[in-house]
Amino acid sequence: MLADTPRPRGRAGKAIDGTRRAQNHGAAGRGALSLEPRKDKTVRLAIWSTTTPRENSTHAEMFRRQLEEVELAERIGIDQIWFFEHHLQPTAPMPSPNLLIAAASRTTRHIRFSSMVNILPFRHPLLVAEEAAMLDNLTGGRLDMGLGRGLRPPEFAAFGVDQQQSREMFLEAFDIIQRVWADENFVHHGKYWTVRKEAPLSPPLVQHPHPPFLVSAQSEESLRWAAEHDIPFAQIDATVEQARCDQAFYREVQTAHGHAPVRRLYLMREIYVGDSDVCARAEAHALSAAVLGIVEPLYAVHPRRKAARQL
Amino acid sequence: MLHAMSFDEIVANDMVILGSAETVANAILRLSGQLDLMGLAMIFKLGAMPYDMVERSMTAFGEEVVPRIRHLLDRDSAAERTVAAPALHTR
Repeated sequence: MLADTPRPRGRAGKAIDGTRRAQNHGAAGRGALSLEPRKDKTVRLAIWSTTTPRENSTHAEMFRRQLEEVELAERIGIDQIWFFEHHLQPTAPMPSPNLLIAAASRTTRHIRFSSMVNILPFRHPLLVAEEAAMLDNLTGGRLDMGLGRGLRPPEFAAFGVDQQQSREMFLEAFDIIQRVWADENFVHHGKYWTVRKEAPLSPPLVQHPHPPFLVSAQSEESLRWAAEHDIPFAQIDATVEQARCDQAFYREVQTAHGHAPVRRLYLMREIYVGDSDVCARAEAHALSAAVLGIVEPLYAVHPRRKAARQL
Repeated sequence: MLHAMSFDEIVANDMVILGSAETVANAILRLSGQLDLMGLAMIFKLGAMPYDMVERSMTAFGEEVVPRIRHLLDRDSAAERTVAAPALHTR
């Protein structure tokens, strides 16, 4: 998502670790706790919870059912729930994943939550950092922080933001969020935002020093940025071959920046468990146009995906 | 990428994982063997799939798929959930 990304300003050679596990590893592990690394082949289960309206049903009912699905996810042993952010999109009416996390935090005890993502060019970074601190408290430290720079041109038009500037805006906002979370007092007069922080972050974070980051990264530029910072990345519709290639690239950059070669790839897949292969296939085939409909609007504008389709 | 594929190709390539619990579990094991996954991000709502179908599928996943892939999962995750986050580097 980040085009032609240089190393972020003022961050060269410094790691902003993506997860609470990263402390064990490599140059980033300054002051590390003596945690055991995860077993080699453990895989976390996340659900990317879509917000999809139905005919003959209200949006209130849609949200009620989505929150029930979160409770069910916790009961069946899912580790993480992610919510999208979309604006003025009737097929995915989810302008604020943060509000859904707040609601779902009240009916769950263990499952972790993430915005996937908070779109930084549309949100003031001080508010992003403060809302995350609230969610960290409401969830009792179960927040992961998914960040992105936005994708859909109509959303940039709606906010009156120049999409060409989204990379710069993302980097400036990312820097501010970290400083707010570090509870540093500072005055920032940036190209896009001004922040004067002269009082403690209130409420303070629950997770220390901060909730783990996540990004959705498909392009080489995004992958490079995520790898430089050792931040876990999700891939939406990559084939195994693409994902393997991207994973190798990520690892190369990750290790070149002094991070241990730990696993960081979340692969998205749509799942349907039916009574039998034949039944599941028939039922899903009837919905396959809608299946394609989930993914296509997200990546229709992505350069690499466009190129892939033209092959 | 999905748009360039037919339904059969999508299923054959494990792009959408569907079938019986055993088939779904095998597909996840296959992916896990092919990639060094930190996690699997699953979408259970295929389009506007009716709510009861979503719930049946999720329940079957928990009851019949998770036990088949349990060795991939860190089920002793209570400790992890309380682990402190890594140090935020100072400027």
